[in-house]
Parts: sequence; C-alpha cells; structure tokens
Amino acid sequence: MKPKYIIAAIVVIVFLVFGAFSLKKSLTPYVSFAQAQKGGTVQIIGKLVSGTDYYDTQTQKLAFTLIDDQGHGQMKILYNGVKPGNFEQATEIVAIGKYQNGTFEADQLLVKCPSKYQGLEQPK
Amino acid sequence: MLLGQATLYLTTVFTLLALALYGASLKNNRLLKLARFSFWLATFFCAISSFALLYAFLTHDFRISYVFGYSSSDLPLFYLISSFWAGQEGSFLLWLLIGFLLGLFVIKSAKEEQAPVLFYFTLVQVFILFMLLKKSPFELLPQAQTEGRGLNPLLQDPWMVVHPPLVFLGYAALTVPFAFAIAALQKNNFDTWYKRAFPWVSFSILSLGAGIFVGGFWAYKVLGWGGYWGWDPVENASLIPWLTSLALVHGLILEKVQGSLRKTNLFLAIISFLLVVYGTFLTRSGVLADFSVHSFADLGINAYLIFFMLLFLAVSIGLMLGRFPALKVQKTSTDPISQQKFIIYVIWGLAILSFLVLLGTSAPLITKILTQPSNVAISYYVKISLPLAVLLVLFLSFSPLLDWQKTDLTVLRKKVLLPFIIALALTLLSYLWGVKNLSHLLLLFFTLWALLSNLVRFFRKLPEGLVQTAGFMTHLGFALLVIGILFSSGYSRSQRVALEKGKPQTIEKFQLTYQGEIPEQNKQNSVSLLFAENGKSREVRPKLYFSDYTQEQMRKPYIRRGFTFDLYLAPLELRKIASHSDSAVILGKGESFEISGYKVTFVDYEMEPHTEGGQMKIGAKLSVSSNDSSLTLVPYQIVGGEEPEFHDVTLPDGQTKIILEKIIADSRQIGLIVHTEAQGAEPTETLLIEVSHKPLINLLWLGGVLVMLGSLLSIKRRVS
Repeated sequence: MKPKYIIAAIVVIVFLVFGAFSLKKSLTPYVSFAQAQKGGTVQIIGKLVSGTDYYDTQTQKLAFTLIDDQGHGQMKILYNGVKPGNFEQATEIVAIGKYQNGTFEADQLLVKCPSKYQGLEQPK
Repeated sequence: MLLGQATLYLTTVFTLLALALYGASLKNNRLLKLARFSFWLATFFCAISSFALLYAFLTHDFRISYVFGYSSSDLPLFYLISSFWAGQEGSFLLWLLIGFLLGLFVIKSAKEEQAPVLFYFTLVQVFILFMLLKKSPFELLPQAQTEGRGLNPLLQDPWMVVHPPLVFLGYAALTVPFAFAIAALQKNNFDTWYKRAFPWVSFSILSLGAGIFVGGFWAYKVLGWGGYWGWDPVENASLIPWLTSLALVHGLILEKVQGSLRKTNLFLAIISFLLVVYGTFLTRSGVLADFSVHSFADLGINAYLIFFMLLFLAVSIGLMLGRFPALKVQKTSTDPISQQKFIIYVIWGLAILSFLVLLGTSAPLITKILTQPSNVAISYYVKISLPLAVLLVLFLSFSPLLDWQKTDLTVLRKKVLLPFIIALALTLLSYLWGVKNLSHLLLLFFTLWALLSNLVRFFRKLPEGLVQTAGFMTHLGFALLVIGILFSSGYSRSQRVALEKGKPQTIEKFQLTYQGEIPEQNKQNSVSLLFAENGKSREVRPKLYFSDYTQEQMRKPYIRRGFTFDLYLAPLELRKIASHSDSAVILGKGESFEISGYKVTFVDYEMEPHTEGGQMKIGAKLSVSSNDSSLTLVPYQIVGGEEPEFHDVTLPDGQTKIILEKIIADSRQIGLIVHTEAQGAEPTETLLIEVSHKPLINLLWLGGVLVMLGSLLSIKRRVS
C-alpha cells in the first residue's frame, strides 16, 4: 500500500464516520407525548385542540395544544415560526423539537393534510 | 375508450416491439431498421397521447378524472397547459414523452452502437410506461362533471410552466449516459462511450440544474414551500443525481484527456440514473408520506417501482462485476498537487456529499427497517454539507492555478498571492460585519479565493472565445452561489410585526402602514401596504387569502429586491377583532344599573348544592326590566372544583352578556362583568407580517445563472 492510498482512505472514512454520527444525532424518532418529556429532539404527532392556538406577540411564538391519537395526552407546543397555511385544516400536526420547562419547543412543524399535490377526491 | 388511452396502448405495443427488436439486433443488424421504425412509431403515438391530454385540458373535458382533478374552466391558458403535469399521472406522461423525443437524438449520437444503447434506453421507457398504464391520466369518472376542482393555487405560477419539464428533461437525459455505459459494458468496448455520453452528461447537468434552480427561485417568491431550499426528500431526490453527474463530468474530462478513471466513470454514469429511479421510488411510492411536505399519495405502483429498481440494479451490478476485473486501466502517476489529482479530489468530495445526502433522505426508510421510523433534522444536512463545501471550494480555489501534471510551487506561490490577500481582506471585512462563526469564515475565505482566482482565469481565457471559458464561468457561478447561500441562509434576520390598520410603523429603515384588504380575482385577495423608503412611498400588495381548493391560507410575499439585500414582506395572518366593551359593576341587594335600555336589579342570591360531590352552584337573581317587559335571569358560578366555572346570561337584545364574576360575602354584594358588543363599529384589523432582511441573496441567483450558462457553453464545446 502506498501512503497516498492510506491517506485517501483515512479521509474518506473520517467523513463517513462523521456523517454517520451526525445522522445518528440528528435522527428524530416519532415518540409518544410521555416519551417526549424525557428529553431529546423528537417528533410528536397529534391533533390540534381547536381554539388553543394563539400568537404570542411578545416572544413571537405560535402556541397551541396537541392531543394524541388515544385522546388522553395533551402537550403544549411553542413554535418559533410562521403558522403554516393549512394549520387549522390539518388532520394531524407533526412537531419536531425538544421538551423544555413544561412545553414542547418545536423547530419545525409538518402539517399533514389530505395532501398538497394529490388533492384528488372522487365525487361520489 | 378515449383516443389518448388508445394511443397509449399503441405506444406500449410499439415500445415493447422496439425493445424486442433492439434486443434481437444485439447479435445481428438485420432488424435494426425495423427496431428504429418501432421506436419512431412509439414516439409518434406517445406524442398523440400527450396532445390528447393537452386537448382535454384546453377543452375542459371533465369526463376525465385527471382533468377534473387538476383544472377548472376559469384557468388562464398557461395554467391550463401546466395542469398537464400538476399530478403524478400527467408528469409520468411528460417524462415518457421527453424520453422518446430525446431518444430520437440518441439514435443519431449512438451511431453503430444503436442496438445496445437503444435497447437499454427503451427498457427505461418501458419502466415509465408501466407506471402510466397502472395509473392512466385518461381514466374516466363514473359520471361526467360540469366543472373541475381547479388547480392548486400554489401551482398557479408562471414557473410551474417550466420547472417540472426541466426536471423531467434532466431525468430523461440522465438515462442516456446510463444506456451508453451499460451498452459499453455489455459489448466490452470502452473506446467511444464516454465521448458520446459527454455532451449528454453536460446536458443533464444543465437541465436538471436549471430545474432545481428554477424550483428554488419559485419557492423563494411563493410562500408555502418553506424558502428556496428545504432539504425536503423531493428536492433531495433531484439534487443527489445532479451531484453525481457533476462528479461524472469531472471524471469524463480525465478520461478524455488521458484515458484514466474508466471504471469510476462507468460507475458514476450508472449510479446517477439508478439514483433517479430510487428518488422516484422514494417520492412517488408514498413511503415518505409522513416525512415530506410534498407527500405524494400512494398510487399502488410500489410493486412496479421496486421491481424495476431491482432489475436495473441487478443488470448494472451483474455487468460491472463481470467486466471490471478484466478492464484495463491506464495508470498515470502524478504529483498530488496537480490539476489531475485535484479533479479526483473533487470527484471524491462530490461522491461523499451525495452519499451523505442520500443517507439522510433515506433515513426514514432505513430506520423503519431497523427500529422505529425516524426522520433527520435539517441541521444534519447543514452539518455535513458545510465541511464538504469548505473542501470543495478549497479545491476550486487552487485548481485553476495548477498545472496538469506537476506544479512548480514557487510559481504557484506567486500566482496565489494576490487573490489570497484580497480574499483575506474581504473575509476580515465580513468578520467585522458580523460573520463570527469559524466554519462560516473558513468557507467564505476559500470561496472568495476561488471566486477571485477563477475570475482572473476567466478574463485571461476570454480572448480565446467565450466557449473556452465554460469551466471557469461555471466555477465562478458556484463560488457566487456558495456566498449567496451562506449569507442568505446564515445571516438573514427577520421579525414579526403586528400592523394595526392605518397606523404606520418603522421597521429597520422602512415605514410600513397596513391599509386594508383588497378583493381580487378568484378570491385571491391581497393586502395593501404603504411602503415608505427614503422619503418615497408606494403601495405594495402581498397576497393573503384562504384557498377553497387546498383549504389553506395562501400567502405570497412582496419582495423589495436590492443589490445588497432583499427585503421580504410576508403577510402571516389578518385578525379582525370586533369592538366590544367590558365594564365591571358592583351591586348590593336591591341596587340596580342601566344598560342599553334595560334596568338590571340584584334581587338575591340563589344557592344550591351542585350534583357532583362538594360543589356549589351560586347564582345571582337579577330582575331585568325594560319599558314593555320584565324577566328574571340568573348568572351563576359553580364553585368547589379546582377553578370556578362561569355561566353567563344574555339580555334580550342579544348583544349584552352578564357574567357573575365574584361574590362579596362580607358586604353581601356581587361583582358583575357586563360585556357589550358595539353596534355598527368597524372591527379593528391587525395584520401580522414577517419582515425579513436577506443579505446577498442576489449573488445566489447570479451564481446559478452563471452555472447554467457555463454548462450551456460546455455542451457547445463538446458537441463541436
């Protein structure tokens, strides 16, 4: 083996290991509300409790409450961003973020609608 | 059966026939003419199908489910045309058509290798065709409709007319190098394929790149897609094969000059296409529906997609394993600091980058198999692309200064010095401006350096003709692109402001006044803002409306474009609050007050145990009388629970509510809240708006345009 191959191999391996580690750290698993409270960046999914959303002009955050599929867990979400366009009509909302001091601080929201592209419903 | 459907079946017949005849021509050339004729006929019938679908859109043929689902009779002509590819079925038809049309050119450029190249090319067409047959755009509704559902307003944009065709042009073009590479492997003849594939690779880079770029520009000026780039699976699916084709084009240069990198190029040509198929699978099968904002629904084509993916993979791996061990490779020994070696470093950098993006995009799928399905945060992509971008621009800054074989370092030092000093100075300036992050500073420094050294080379090369500068122009564009991305994504600032109607507010150096909602065509209302800057003011109208089609709030920003920064005004929410007044009244027994023509008198308390354990219902008996009537109302509280429950009453006028707020037991008084809706008063309107300051975003667009121009020039160079 020539030294240049070894150097090349090391560089490639370093990058792949770095990538794998970053991936592992950035993975955000879907968890239940109870598991989310144990900390870590996760994704939770639930339905919007209607009427709970308001915009806090002080902190510039969108606040709302999600209720989980079983209908017993509730979680207050604070989202530092713009209210998604189809927020109220969403069948389900996915929040990606971290549980901190009693609320779930979301960095990203995915609003699940019947669909954005494939809005085709056959007339009955 | 509709004409379009009939010709789609004919297309299938002739495509399969062409496949069979090209297959037969692999051994002997007798049937080649017939094969080509079948391919022509398939192209012809596919074009008829496409015209039939277009015609159905233009004539509002709402018997067809696809036309019903994606258009309506009030759509303007351009959007009617783009409805063609607004859904999956139509976009597959477009892909198929573009494939056939490109195929006619491939027949020319394949020359004596027509049979094997067109055999594999036709196989890919069969793959697209099968998806179309499973889910045809010509399916009829059980009952014809009189009006369609309309086109998603997000897609009603001039860019919708060009963005999808460009992407599919790129996808179809990437099939060509794949077909050439597989054909070369099968024939065990590697002398011509790379020369013939070269312009096609440049063409794929141009069309797919333009598609991605236009998509980003569109996403920037229409809200709802989340900025110009969101690392969404659908976006990544087109980025990954683009990155591998960038690697391929660099590899082809080396092969052309000195015959090296043969295996690498074959591999890259094949993998670029396989990644297109894989990307189609990821985004069209519905496997990522939980993780993408684009979320295509599952059309039941998964089995086909998986079958074809495995078929292409098996053929490719089989051929590569069979041929690679015996493949003769030109060995060249060169200095590690030479242009040749730097090209190899760039290929590695791009390969690793595309692999890591692929890994992140596939994460939901991989984790689904291993444990629980997980997505990756966007920060993953930022984290991995930053160091690789630093490396890539480092190579970019040196490579134009290096000699092909071996570089004289003392000469290099002289050439490097001036760009180095200027780049350093500009980086320092940026540091003072506010770029404090070390990796950002590194990226910026190398990018500026790359920019300057390519700029110098560009002007040196210019006298030899514009075509000769293709490479430098592309690299110049890349450097600008990186600077634009760095500043606009890393150093934007934004704030959300509540603008009350008619009240001016100063934000940064601008003054904004919300003037009211403006009704527009198709209920796509906008909001009127008075935008004052440097003493001059004008009206601007970003859009904000509720779409019946998507059941979404639609927003379109106003962008004040400027050279150093864009000011981005995005309306978020319009709040209309009806005016009302609340007043508190304290009454003792027998005392009264007057409100909107009624005399309200506190008669007595009313207490009784509430049904649930230990709770009490406490009410206040109020006698309400006007000139012609009188009645008794009892607002009450239920106490004893964690918090009291309030039950209010409404006066006969329907506008005044009385709430029993408190019971003052010591003085035997009650506290009431009287809530009155004001009559006739205008509700107060408040517009919530996000004002963003996006620095140097224009460099991003300028860079993109230069990259595209450079690719165009390089095609011209390869063809001539």
